[in-house]
Parts: sequence; C-alpha cells; structure tokens
Amino acid sequence: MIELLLFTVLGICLGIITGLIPGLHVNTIAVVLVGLSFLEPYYIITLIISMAITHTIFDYIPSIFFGAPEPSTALSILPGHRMLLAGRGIHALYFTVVGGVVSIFITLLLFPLVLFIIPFLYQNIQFYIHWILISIAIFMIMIEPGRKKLYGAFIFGISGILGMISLNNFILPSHMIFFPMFTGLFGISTMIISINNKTQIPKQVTWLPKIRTRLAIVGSVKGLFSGMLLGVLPGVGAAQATVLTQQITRKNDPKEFLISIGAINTIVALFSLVSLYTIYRPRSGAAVAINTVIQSFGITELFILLGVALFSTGVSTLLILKVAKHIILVLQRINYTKMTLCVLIFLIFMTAIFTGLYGLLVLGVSTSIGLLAPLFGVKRSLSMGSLMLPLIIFYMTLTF
Amino acid sequence: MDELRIKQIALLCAIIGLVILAYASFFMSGVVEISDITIEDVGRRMKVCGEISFIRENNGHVFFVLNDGENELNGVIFNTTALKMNESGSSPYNLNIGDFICLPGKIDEYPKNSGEIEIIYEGGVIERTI
Repeated sequence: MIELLLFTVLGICLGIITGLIPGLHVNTIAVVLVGLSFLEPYYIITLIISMAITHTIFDYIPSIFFGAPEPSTALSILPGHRMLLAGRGIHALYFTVVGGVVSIFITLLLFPLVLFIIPFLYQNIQFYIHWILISIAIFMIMIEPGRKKLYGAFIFGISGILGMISLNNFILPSHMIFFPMFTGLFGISTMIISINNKTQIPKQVTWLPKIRTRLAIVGSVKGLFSGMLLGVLPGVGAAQATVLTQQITRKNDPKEFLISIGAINTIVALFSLVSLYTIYRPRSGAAVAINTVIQSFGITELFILLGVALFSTGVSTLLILKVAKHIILVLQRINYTKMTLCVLIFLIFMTAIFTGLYGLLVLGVSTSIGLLAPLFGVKRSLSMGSLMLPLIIFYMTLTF
Repeated sequence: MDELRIKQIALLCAIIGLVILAYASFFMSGVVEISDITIEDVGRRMKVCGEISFIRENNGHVFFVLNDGENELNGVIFNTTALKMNESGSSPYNLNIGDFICLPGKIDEYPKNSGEIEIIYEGGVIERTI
C-alpha cells in the first residue's frame, strides 16, 4: 500500500512536469518508464496512470496562460485567451479544473454503468463515427455568416489536407506529429497575433468565481458523454471530443465549454485505460505502455486504476488551485509580449528536439494555416479539420 | 459551487482513491508458498510461483500444474481470460512445460466439496522465467 502511494505521488510529480512543459508528452515518458524492468510491474502501472491523469489537470496552464496547446487543449486557448485578456485567466483555468474533478467524481458514481456502456459504444458507434464527424463539420461551417461559410469550408479543407499529409507519413509517428501541428495551428499563430498587437495582460483577478452546481454538473456530463463516446474508438480522442462538445454546449457560454473540455481531457485519459479492461484494447500511448508490462488487465488492476485516478485527480486539483494564484501574480509582473516571444522560441526549440526538420516544416505550414482563420474572420476551431478530415476518411474506408 | 466545495470534492476523491488503493493492495499480497494454501483460502486472491510441470489446452481453456519442488497446485486460465490475453498480445498458449512462473489468481475448490484446490488466473502480471 505504502509503495503504491509512493509511486502515485511520484507519478503526480511527473504529470505536473509533463503538463507544464509544452511538447513533453506522457507517452514519451511512459515508454521510458516501461524500460525500468527492475521495478515491480504494478509500480510502473501506478506511475503511468497517475502521471497520465495529473497531466490532464496541469496541461491547461501552458495552454491558457502561454497559448501553448496540445490537441486536447487546443480549443481551450480560444475562450481561455479571451478570458486572460479580460483579466480572468484564473477563471478559465478554474473552469477546466472543475470539469476534471467533477467528471471524475460523477464517473465514480456511475462506474458500474460505465463498464457496461463502453463495450456497447465500442461495438455500435464505430461504424457511424464518420457520419457524426461529417455532421459536426457541416454544422461548424454552416454557422458562419454569409460568405464566411466559403472561407470556413476552405479553412476546414486546407487544414484537413495538412492533417492527411502530416499524419500519413513514414518519417514520424502520428502521436509525435500532433505537437508541431497543433502548436502551429492554435499556439504560435495566436502568439504571432499577440506579439504583433503588442498584447499586454491586464490586471488579473485572483479570486475564484462561484459556479452554479447545475452548470458544473451539466458541463461535466457533456464532457463525460463526449469523452466516453469518442475516447474508446481507435484514432479518436480528446481533441475530437472537444469539437463535439463545442457543438453541444451553449454558444455564448465559455464557462460551460471550459468545464466540458476540462472533463473530456481527464475522462479520455481515464477511459483510454479502462478500455484495457472493457474491450481489451489500449486506446492511448499510456495504455499501450501498461499493456506491455501486464498480460491481462484484471479486476485488481481496474481497482488500482480507479484508486490512482481518483487520488491523483484529487491531489492535482488541490495543488493547481494553490499554485494558480501565484502564477497569475507572476504573470502580471512580466512583459507579456517578451514572455510570449520566449515561449514561441521555446516551442520552436522543443519542436526541433522532438520532431526534427520534418516537425519544423509541419510547424511552419500549420502556423500559416492557423493565421488564416483570424485573417478571414472565421472561427479558428475550423482548423480542427486537420484531425477530422483524416478520421472521416479513415472510418469511411473502414465501413466500405 | 465555490472554491471550498471544489476542494471538498477533490479531497473526497483523494480519500476514496486511497481506500480503493488499500483494497486493491490487499489483493496484491506477496507470494504464498503452495504448501501454505489450504481449503480455508478458497475465494481468496493470492500469488503463487512454481514450474509448469503440465499444461494442456481444451476449448480455449488452459489447464496447468505448478510445481515448487515439493508440492503441486492445479491452475486454470479460462477461455474468456485467455481471449483477453490474446487481444492484448500475450497469449497463454505460449506457456510451456518447464517455464517458471509467478501468477496472481483466485483460490477455488474443484470439484466442489472434493477438498482439491486450484488457482484461477483472472488477470494481472504473470512473471515468467524460461
């Protein structure tokens, strides 16, 4: 018990590091952890689970405050950055944290039901997933006003082509290409506009808002639903679930959207591991790593997963609520334009380190496409075509 | 829901997580000698080690005997578990006579009221030394 707890705490520390450093992904560290053959397999599993869950709580800090996203947090930049510029950056982070912890709590209450629903969804939804994605894509384009529908379709299409070329290459595995692609589409393009406009961070509030219980529950349940729907299917994950959630949350309510995507990020990480028990298949890099150290994911492992996930979420939530106010205070004292420039250089450096020249090329092209949406005056979420179009084609070919 | 309520939910999650971890670690107890397993242990989960002295597959079920040099224990991996193992890329059909393994499982009496005990593998780490 003490050893399990110790490795859970160690995993939380690793998750904080991977969450805070853009580009440092859980999958990368999980592969290294699997190599620690001198450790008991259960300790390795514990480390990976707690790291993966903690990561999903902390990775909103670089996304909201520095504009450096991952696929799952990319859409949070948009309302998150707006709230930061309105002096309410801490509120944006708080909403995502609430989504994470409330959704895990609801999952705990519904866990036996979840174990039944996941195999059902897996067997029945995968043949219709392309129709769901096509409907979302059409809806996203059609809500643009007038001529902007054409621009929207163009952005969706060109992002989709970028995704298809980037994800179907033999140079880098797809999970590594996500970093330069999303950093370009949503991160660096936002930073360039910020630097160009000499954006300064206004005085930030440090108090946390009161959220209506109904809003917290509804937002979390929507995230839980999307995460459960898309988290167990091959090739689909948190990023696609956020797009789905964006369509089912109220348009002018960034609070509900941020709560939902906070829920999705944590839920997808959890369900991608639970799928080892329910459908016997790994659905994330972390789950693949666990699968290599364990022959069969049984009931004991499921209990460990649930226990570690709950403990890690609880502790991470308490920690992030503690540090968020300090981050805000530090952020106010520094020149935001200079800091954005530093983060931008750091992201280019990390891209070069992790993905090399090919990654830099993808970063450059993605940044250009990422700049098009604000220039055309259409929603930047249309750049999610980079993930949606390849998946629509993948699932269509699976059906026909 | 204010900050305090969120902190309370987080704390509750952490405490429930701890309780579940304690429950799970109860099943992860250390290795038990085959000679120490008795009929009283039926229904308990334990981890045993031994050399495979017999192995046979029937209708997808894998039946084996573990031998620790002095004592023997019958074991079974049912086809549902074997299928799960196959799906995750580690087939139980690769186990061979002479392999030394440590595996967790549930102690069961089979046939009922016979006084004969066996271990049923239901998942978890099989440590294997060829």
